[in-house]
Amino acid sequence: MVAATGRFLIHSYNTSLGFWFLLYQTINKIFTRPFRVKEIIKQLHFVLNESAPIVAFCVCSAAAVTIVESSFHMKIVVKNDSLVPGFAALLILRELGVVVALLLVTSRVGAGIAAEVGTMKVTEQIDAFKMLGMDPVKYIVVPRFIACILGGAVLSLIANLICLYVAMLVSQIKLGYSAGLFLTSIRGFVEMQDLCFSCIKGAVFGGVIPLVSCYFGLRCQAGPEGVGRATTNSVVVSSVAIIGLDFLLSWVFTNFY
Amino acid sequence: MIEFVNFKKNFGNKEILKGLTFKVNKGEIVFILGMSGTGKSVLLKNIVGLMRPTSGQLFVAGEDISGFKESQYYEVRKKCGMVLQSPALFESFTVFENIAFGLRRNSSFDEAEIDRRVKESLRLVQLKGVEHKWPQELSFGMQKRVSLARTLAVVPKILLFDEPTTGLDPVTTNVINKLIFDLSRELNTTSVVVSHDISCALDIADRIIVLDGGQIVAQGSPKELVKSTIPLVKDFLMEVR
Amino acid sequence: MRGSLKNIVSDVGLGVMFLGRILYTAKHSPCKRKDIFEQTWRVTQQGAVTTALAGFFVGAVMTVQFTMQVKGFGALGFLGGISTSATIREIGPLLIAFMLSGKIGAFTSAELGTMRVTEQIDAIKCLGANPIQEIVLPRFIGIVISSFFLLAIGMLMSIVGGLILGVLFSGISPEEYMRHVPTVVSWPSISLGLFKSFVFSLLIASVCTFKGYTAFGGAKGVGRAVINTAVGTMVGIVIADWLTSVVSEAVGVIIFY
Repeated sequence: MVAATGRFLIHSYNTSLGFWFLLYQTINKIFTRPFRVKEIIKQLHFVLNESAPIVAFCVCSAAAVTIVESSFHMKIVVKNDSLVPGFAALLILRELGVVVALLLVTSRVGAGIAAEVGTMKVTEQIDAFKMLGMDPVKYIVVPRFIACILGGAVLSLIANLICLYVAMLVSQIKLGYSAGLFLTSIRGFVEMQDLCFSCIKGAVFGGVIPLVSCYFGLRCQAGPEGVGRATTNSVVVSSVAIIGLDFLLSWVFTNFY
Repeated sequence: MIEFVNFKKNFGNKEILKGLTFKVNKGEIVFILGMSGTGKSVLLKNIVGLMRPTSGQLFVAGEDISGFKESQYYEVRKKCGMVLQSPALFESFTVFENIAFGLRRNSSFDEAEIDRRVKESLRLVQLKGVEHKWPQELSFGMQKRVSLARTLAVVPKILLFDEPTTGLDPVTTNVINKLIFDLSRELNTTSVVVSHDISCALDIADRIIVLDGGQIVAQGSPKELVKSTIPLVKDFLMEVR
Repeated sequence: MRGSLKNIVSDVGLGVMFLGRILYTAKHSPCKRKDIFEQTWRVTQQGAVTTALAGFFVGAVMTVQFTMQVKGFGALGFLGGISTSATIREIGPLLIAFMLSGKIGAFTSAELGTMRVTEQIDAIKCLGANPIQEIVLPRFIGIVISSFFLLAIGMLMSIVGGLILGVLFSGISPEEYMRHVPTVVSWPSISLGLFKSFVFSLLIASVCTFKGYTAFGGAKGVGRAVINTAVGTMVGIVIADWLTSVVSEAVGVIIFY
């Protein structure tokens, strides 16, 4: 157990070193010409097109569950459910909307990038890039990085709005709140800045996904099992990183209320 | 032993094999030649049920297997041994366990017998001292030979080879070709070999079948084929002369 | 849109048929106990660290978010109770499922996919063995069993995370944090959590084995299988979460009234 933990720590230390270096390279190369706007738009389209329907669909379910669950707890603690809309809106705007949306993006886009870059590496396309004098970081990582930051912010906005809307619907059907009552009762709990913070979280998580995926993709080992391992690792590391960063950002944002 | 009757196989709307009829007798070595993509591997995979025929009949050891269910194929597969194109060794097992896999599943051998048979089949493919290595530690040629040993360990009546010597060095190629010949003569094993190795086919085959466009364009003993006037067969044999 | 809908429906149908094949095999030709133990141990070992890490952060986030709101009503004493109950009923199983899907689901599908594209599955068939019985069934059962161990680890860690943040961030003593746990957490909640995690693990196990087993087309195919597994399990988990909530509520209504 101790040995396993030690190996895990050493391994994560090495991985994070390589990861920071990739982040440094990427940020360095964002501001060098050419800017490749077309490629960025193409990637942005990929990110939004691939994940928006799934995100929209899944946050609907999440919203319904949130209402049901918070009404259960409210009945125990406060003995009535007048605070349900407020708590649900709070949970959705601060945590649920953005985390669920970006975890889904991880599985769709993150895994997609890792598999794509990994296949490029295995079939020696990355080496071909280098032979042609093109920098893989500039040509592969940077457009995806920018696209995912923008896409993450937009998706978290979309997810929050849909999630709130569905929560409103569900509380009307299940608890009998009218839309107006729902909206007035959440005023005491959430503010506009919650939505902004949520977008910032979305952008940060969005930035993590392509970096992690490209990191594992570019280090992919030969053969099918290499691509499989790269994809798996990128999904796991991105998910844990998102949950960890979520905690960190939540703590930071509490200082602004 | 194996008989194809008006055998057809489609992938979607694409016809791969368009009505083949031929027979492989007991103890014979039959080579199937043809260009890449003419469905040679498909032919072999149908015999052991990795693929199912679209129409037509296929007899293995007297039974029509074309309408078999998955569970019925297990009996057929016990009679046939197939050496796949890639080594396909199980990465979580050592070489010994790889070769013992078929023995443990199909027969009631004790450990000593399994040990003896694994050693014996490794000796046949001329490998020594690799029992406790992992497949990843072996070179491609050695992996391929272990894969062959795994198939031979259960002593099948019918042996199917899907390009057994592609990508191997000349020495290993000779070892494998000699092995195919010896097995057929000593144990009366029936062998069907899909190969690109024409000189070897002329040396050891009892019969050669040339496929093109999903149909048989020529078949006969090596001597007959050498005299053939069909253009494709001539092109194939050009390489050897 | 219509085409993709058709694909989804046929995919789900094939997946259910595959599950039927696994269950049929389990009934008629069960695999060896030793293999199941081996797989269970492997899955638990692999998932433990990530689940623990994620569990800790989620518990921490819940406490940080709830603190300010609960303080407003003077119900800080209930903080521990609510956090723990929410973890056991909802967040715990959901989180474990997400982590399992990323780590174990993706890994298993990559492993089976590699076996498929390197013809190892064909080799098993050629040697007269049943690949479902030999390699799919032990993994399937292993995932279902080990999900309970991982659930225990993740819940424990998320309660610990909530407790630590309760002390550090909200400034309440551990005794006070734990005081209301027995009042809020009830046996129906615990059984709901167990039921949910059982459903999720069944879903993950069948999706990942199905996608891995039916992979095709070299390294790229393995990548595709992993992406499909990640997306399929995550969407499936969110839907199953909603369904189990609805069902459990209906059952609860029947029991209590």
